Amino acid sequence: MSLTHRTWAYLTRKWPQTVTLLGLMVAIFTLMATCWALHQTTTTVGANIKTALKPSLTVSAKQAPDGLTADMVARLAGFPGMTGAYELDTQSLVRYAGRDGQDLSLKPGEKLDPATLNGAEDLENGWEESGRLYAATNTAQDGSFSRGDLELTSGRMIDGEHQVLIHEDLARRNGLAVGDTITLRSVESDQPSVEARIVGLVTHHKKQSDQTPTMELYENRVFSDAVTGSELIFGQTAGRSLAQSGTFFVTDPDQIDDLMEQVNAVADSQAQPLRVTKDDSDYVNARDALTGMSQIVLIAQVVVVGVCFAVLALFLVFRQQHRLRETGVLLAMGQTKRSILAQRVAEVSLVAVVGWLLAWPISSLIAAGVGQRLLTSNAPSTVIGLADVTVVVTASTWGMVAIIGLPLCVAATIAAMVPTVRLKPKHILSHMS
Amino acid sequence: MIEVKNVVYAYDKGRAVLRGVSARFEPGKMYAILGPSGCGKTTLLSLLGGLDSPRSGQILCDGDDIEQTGLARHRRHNVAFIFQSYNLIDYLTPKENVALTATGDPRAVLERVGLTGAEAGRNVLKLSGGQQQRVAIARALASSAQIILADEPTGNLDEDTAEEIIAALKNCAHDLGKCVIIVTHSNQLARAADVVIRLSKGKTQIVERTGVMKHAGPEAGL
Ligand SMILES: Nc1ncnc2c1ncn2[C@@H]1O[C@H](COP(=O)(O)OP(=O)(O)O)[C@@H](O)[C@H]1O
Ligand SMILES: [Mg+2]
Repeated sequence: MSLTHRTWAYLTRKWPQTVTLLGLMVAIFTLMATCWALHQTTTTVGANIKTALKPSLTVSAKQAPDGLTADMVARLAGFPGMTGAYELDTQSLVRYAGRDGQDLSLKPGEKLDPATLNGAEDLENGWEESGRLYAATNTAQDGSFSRGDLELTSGRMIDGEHQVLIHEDLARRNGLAVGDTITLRSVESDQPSVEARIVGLVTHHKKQSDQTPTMELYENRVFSDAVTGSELIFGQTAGRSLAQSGTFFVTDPDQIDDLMEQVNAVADSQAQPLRVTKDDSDYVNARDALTGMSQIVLIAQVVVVGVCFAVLALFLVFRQQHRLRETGVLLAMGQTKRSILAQRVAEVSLVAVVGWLLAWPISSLIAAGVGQRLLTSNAPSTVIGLADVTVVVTASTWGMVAIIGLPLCVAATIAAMVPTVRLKPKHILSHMS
Repeated sequence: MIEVKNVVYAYDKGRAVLRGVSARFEPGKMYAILGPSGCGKTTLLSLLGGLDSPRSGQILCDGDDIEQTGLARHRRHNVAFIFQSYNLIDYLTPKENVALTATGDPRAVLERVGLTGAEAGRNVLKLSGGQQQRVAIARALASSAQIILADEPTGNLDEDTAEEIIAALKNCAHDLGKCVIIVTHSNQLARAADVVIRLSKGKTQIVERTGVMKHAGPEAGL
């Protein structure tokens, strides 16, 4: 009568007990795997958001007539701690003309009162009759597009030099279509006009107040590439001034303050004032949400493991009470305590392994569903990098659960047997009658 | 041969239950230990079986102190138990219960105590009391142990069934040459025994020799 035979006979013939234990095991391993998977995901997301949320320093030279020079841009982008990637922005009030040289007709806005303006002479320069140009390296990243205030309705986004997006209303008023060319001239500088091709039309979804002046109306807004902007403001002498401001991406957002100090030192040493601001709010929000998350998950992990194995040990103690007679009889027949303990360990381990296998698909489902909800509900929905994260129970998570869970099962089994093992066979036999 | 020498035993903090018991048991005979309830019969039997150690005194099996040779070893090799409540392992069949101790084919032993092949493979809890006790006897018989210790083996059985069980036990002693020691307060059983040992007030007081085997009684206690 071998140990394996006894183990197998017990598990199969006392199947209600076996099923109960199996249920307990599946629950334990499912909880463990789900917690572990969540923990792993928060760690992965934590690493991802450092770059995904593009923390950056913005250096603005709006107050400097020369703007950001090519040298300065290269110097800032090459700073240790910068990724090297940057985006340039320029804004200007611009007058638009068609092919025939005639000014385009704009949607008229609220008349400006010269008395409330700083420079009444500017009005004479035609500010009243201009729209605003937003020139940028990456127009799609412009807040009004990413927030959904504006939407591209036909054509495509800007992907080269001397390209513009104009409003549907402006196109309709002037009989323009995608593919047409318009001429732009800045009313804020003396530089010659620049030609650009319309590559797309936009419309707006955000309401503007009735008091909006002509130049601020969405309808009169034009988006262009960065080169068009720099030529309008700084002229065609390429390689001198590139933009009014630049956004420089940072490698490690946790070091952004140090980096900002160094960049400020450079900015302060310039003849023309530069203003440095940092933008890591997306990262900070996401990081704080994640820190909260992973703390919850960590506590949950410890609690889950503790509670699960306390419950398992209690369950096994309770069951051992019902197996005292069997224990006593086996001892009386010369079985050693060691072999009886070995049988218990074999029984529990076998069920644990099956429970562990069953828990994989179950915990995968739970992790994907509940885990996802937990992650996204605990983090601001604006946080990119969380919305598209899937919580999966990976093989390594699965291994961890086994490496920690199975020995704990064995430990719980042994712990449950301690009170019995300490008794003499005589006492076990007299207890049971 | 197993011998008890001046054995004293007390439960934790309690008064001594056995106060200097001596007795000798030989192979080929059936012994009945008689005595009023609570006098320590079960206690004495469990000491003989190596389930616990006496406070003082010795238990010698074939001349060796079982304390020295090891109680688990003694239980495994020298003795086999039969309990009043049968104490079969309920998730094992009769055959498997016997196989716990058997070295050979358990079916032969089960047949000897009168169980059919079908009964031998059944759930033990579905057998009658008499059948269960027969399985327990078979389990004891199947082991290589020369000493069979039975605690009120007929206590839960009706008289006819008890008679059969007694016959089976007697068989073990007389035909198989085992030393059968039975704790009982049944006169029916005592009459069948070769030797009767009376236990009272913690001592073996009277030794009755019955039957023809007058030459081989145990020593009287103090
Ligand atoms: N486990 C125990 N703990 C304490 N006292 C016990 C225990 N088992 C038996 N006793 C006491 O020891 C005495 C002898 O018990 P026992 O050997 O079972 O008697 P018998 O089998 O002759 O009826 C009784 O007084 C009983 O109450
Ligand atoms: Mg008793």
